[in-house]
Amino acid sequence: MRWGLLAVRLSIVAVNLIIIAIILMSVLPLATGKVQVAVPEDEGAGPVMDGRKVTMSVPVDITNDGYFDIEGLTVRFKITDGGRVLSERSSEPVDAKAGRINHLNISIMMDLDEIDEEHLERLVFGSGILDLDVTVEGGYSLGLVRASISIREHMDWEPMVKGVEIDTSKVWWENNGSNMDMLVPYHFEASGILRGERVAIDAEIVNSTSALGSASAGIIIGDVNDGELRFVVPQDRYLWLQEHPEKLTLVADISVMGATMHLERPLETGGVT
Amino acid sequence: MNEFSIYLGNAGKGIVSSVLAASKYILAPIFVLTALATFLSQMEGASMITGQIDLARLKDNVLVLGTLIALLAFFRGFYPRGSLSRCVFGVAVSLLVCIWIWVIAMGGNMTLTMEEASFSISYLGFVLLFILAAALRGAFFAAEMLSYRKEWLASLEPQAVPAGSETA
Repeated sequence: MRWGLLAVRLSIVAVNLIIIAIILMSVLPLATGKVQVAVPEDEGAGPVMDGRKVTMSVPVDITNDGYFDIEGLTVRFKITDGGRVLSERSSEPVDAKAGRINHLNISIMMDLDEIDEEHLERLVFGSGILDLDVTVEGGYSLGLVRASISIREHMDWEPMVKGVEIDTSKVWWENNGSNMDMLVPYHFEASGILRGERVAIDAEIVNSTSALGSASAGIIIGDVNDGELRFVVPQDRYLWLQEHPEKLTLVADISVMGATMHLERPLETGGVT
Repeated sequence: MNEFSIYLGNAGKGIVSSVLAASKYILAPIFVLTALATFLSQMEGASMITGQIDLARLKDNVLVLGTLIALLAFFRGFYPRGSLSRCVFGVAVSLLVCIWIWVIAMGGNMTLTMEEASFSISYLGFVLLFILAAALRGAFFAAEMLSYRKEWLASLEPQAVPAGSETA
């Protein structure tokens, strides 16, 4: 018996059998639908804000009735605005074990500190279309195969703070004893993600030469976000304005999470009571 | 003794080896590639895929490398077991088969890019396993030569004439 020759021949047969077995065990479950991915409906929690970080969680059910684990499953995403990268993140790698249904929670975190002021303002106060690149990557067949699928989508972005209105047509005055307070109502809507965040409004009423008064307001975002800006106006200025109507401008800076929106509204003083 | 002499071989065995190699490394893959190209040509929107894989170029590569393999396989089958020439051609064929696998497997990576999506797959591990199997086949010819060497060399020795068989 030629043992050396037999050993080499058996090695070749063994390697070939291993390859065939791995291929069959990899392809058959995929071909017969034993590996399935589903996103359970109504289970997707919305984005959660933690400090300056927004975390989005997507629950995914991966049924892996195949023979091999799906290893290092990661979801990468990149949000760009006209070619400029706003955020690029990757989820933590997770494994989908073979022979069971894997309930995975793929979470993606966006750090607002990484976004420059201009784009942060656009995200907080503006709407538009952002480009979203999503890449799903994972290994299979004992790590012998690694695949990735990238999909580019356009994403309609809704402002996180919208409908900001400082209504200068509904101004009213209150006598606070020594001076007059001018009250200007404001209102805005905010996305649920911002609930509990503080919005600061710093406003000034100016004419062509000087400032008439200033007001500041801080509001914790809730279901209803409205209130009044209270400007303290000296009595003599108030009386002067009553007799000499002039065009004023209300200038306001509305800040939330480091993003600031600048507003200017005309204010007619004639006829106010 | 010249181990590459054409008088040492068997043309019939060489032709059988060459035909088997041509079937395996030219005819079968060309058939598969042609069937795949036909299938893809009937699929809507598949022209983008065929353009990126470049099946025509793949076919050309298979044809060139397959022809070389079939040619060398003739000499591998032509020379007898135990000869250095069979071992050399066997190892050469195995090396070419390794290259053939690498080429037809497109280096173990494939990327398809469409308008809004792209798909990338890396199967280098599988390709290296196939190459390992082909390389072991090369090792087999070396082992075969060592195993059959003495018998083959003995077969070349002139046959000793038994004593007393001489005729007057």
